[in-house]
Amino acid sequence: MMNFVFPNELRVTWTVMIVLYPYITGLVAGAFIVSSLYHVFGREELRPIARFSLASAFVFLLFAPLPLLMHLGHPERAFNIMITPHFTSAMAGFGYIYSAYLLVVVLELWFVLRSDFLARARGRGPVAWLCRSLVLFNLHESPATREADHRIVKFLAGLGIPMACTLHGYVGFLFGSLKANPWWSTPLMFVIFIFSAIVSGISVLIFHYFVVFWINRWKVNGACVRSLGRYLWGFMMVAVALELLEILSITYEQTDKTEVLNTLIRTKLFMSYVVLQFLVFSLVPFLMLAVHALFRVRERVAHALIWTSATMLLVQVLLMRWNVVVGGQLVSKSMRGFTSYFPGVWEKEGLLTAAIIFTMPFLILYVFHRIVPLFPDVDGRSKQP
Amino acid sequence: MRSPSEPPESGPPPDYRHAYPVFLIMGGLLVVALAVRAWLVPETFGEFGYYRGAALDEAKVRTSRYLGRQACAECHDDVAALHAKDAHGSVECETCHGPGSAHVEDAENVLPRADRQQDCLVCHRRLDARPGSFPQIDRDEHFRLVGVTNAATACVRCHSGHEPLFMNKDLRTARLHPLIHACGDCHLGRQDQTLKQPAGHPQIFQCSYCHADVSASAAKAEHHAIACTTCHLFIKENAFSGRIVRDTDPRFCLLCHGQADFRSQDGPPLITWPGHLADVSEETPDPTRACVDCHQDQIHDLFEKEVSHGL
Repeated sequence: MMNFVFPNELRVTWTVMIVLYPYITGLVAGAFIVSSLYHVFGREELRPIARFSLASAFVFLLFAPLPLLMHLGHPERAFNIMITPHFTSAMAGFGYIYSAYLLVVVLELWFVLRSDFLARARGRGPVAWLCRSLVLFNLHESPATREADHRIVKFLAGLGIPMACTLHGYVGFLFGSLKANPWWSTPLMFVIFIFSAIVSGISVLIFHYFVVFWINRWKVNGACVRSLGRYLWGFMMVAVALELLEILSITYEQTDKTEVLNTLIRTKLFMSYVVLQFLVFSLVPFLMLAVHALFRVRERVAHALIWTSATMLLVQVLLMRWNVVVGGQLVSKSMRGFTSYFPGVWEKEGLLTAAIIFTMPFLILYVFHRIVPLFPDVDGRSKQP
Repeated sequence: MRSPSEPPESGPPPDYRHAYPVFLIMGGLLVVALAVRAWLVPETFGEFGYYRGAALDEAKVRTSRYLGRQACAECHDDVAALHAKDAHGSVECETCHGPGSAHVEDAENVLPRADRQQDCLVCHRRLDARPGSFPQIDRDEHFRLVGVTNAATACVRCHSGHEPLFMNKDLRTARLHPLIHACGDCHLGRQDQTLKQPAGHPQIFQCSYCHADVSASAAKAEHHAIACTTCHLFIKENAFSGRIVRDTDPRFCLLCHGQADFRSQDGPPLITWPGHLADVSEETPDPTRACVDCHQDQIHDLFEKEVSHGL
């Protein structure tokens, strides 16, 4: 008698946690690139958001691996891959790239904020003591040290750009190199991930910047957000075009996988991929940002267009991550059919855990802002070098 | 903060001394990381291959938690005999009941009964990716078909895990039959998109190709919506053939027609057994009679060739 053993694909093993992992990693890469546009490429109009973007990159980077650890049954074993790495396991590479990138971001942030740490370190209380320890109890500051800080920041920001691209490109590689999965296995995946990361990073900065400024009733810097809006428009065009080209490539190649992937798009992913990701959350922001970039509109209208587009693009990139990570697992290894997945709210890898993980960087950023001002131009607490 | 792209302010050259401790700390962290790695890598790592060599010796002294069906049959020989002849004959006891070593050591460690819906659906839930020939159900559709009203009804209320189909013949010695292919075996849910005669396609063998008279008769009978292989159970044995059983045990018919408190009258006609024999017989009921002895015309006509096959 023959037993039935394969395929027995009852459940999707890479859950919403694995959706969140490339999403948060992407926010890091995008936010860092915005800060580098100011520090390296001298985009002066981005100065009001440069420090905030670097700090955002840092806090999102702290939380990027947390969804991965939440996904594991034995998270303490995760570090084994870095102790005894092997070429057959791509994940160790992410560990090294992540660690190196974290080092660069921490160093750059330290040199950017050193003057502010010194300003707070000269006071009294626990925050002052914390700041004194952060500057390694060296309270000396002069134009010469500030000049050194500027040069080091510029060097680290320049070094960080390829590292940011490598970090998120590597996350794309983790999916794109899995040749057993027809929905993931494409070299375009690396590039798509980099561009979608930049889109999500710029979007989260715009979203958060407006929210903070509206809450505090500060005056929004029009030149800065309009510049960010134009960058967002440019990067989202490339990202969405690449995503569409991937579909064109799959359809035109007509390989043995084409039929099942077309069915996947037409049935299981129709709502989340075709309708939401492309028709709603790509097309609408594209048109709104085009209106902002190509026509003269009043400042309030421009800000509304930019903020709404950024918020929608944040959702678009989340949908893209969902459609890639979950969509790829819905296809049976036999290429004959599909399974289904929707996360529960309360389970270990459910929606509540995802919401908590995604909220934590914002809370840390708030604490950060209480210690050193992230918007020195408007809140009046900063000592500008 | 001044943009680094701006020309430097006039003044003294940059003073990097405050940065030295930072880079020193970073360098120190790297050294510590390398030292920790050297300390954490197990001594026997790489002895035989890219793994911890001592793991082999540790694995050797471990005892198996799964003991196999022979261990179960030593005490539960009656259940083992039932189990071996029926459709679950190739499924190990511990697949449903879990590892049995603790139970063998101490009978007080009772194994789980495996009577939840999920225990059955893990294999039998309809999944397009599974071979169409494998028995699989959409629970709601299946319950509708057999008139079960409570969605929480356990599968074991009708199907015993040990004897799920009450086969009246031992499946291991049942008649050999060429492989039966139906379009749905491969094209589950997409049969309407399949070409009639696709080039290079494997030959399709449907029941009607060889048993045209029976198929034509079955198509007109009350059971016409039931697939032939529902009653003539076919279990694939190799790439060319399998075992086929005509299941005439009344308990098999009662899987659909048995009266039960969880069944409504909206489903198939329901009877009690063996009470039904007394209801329809004026003489002393014969408990050896099978349903098909009276209800053959509601299934399909019998023809000489099929009678000789015993199928």
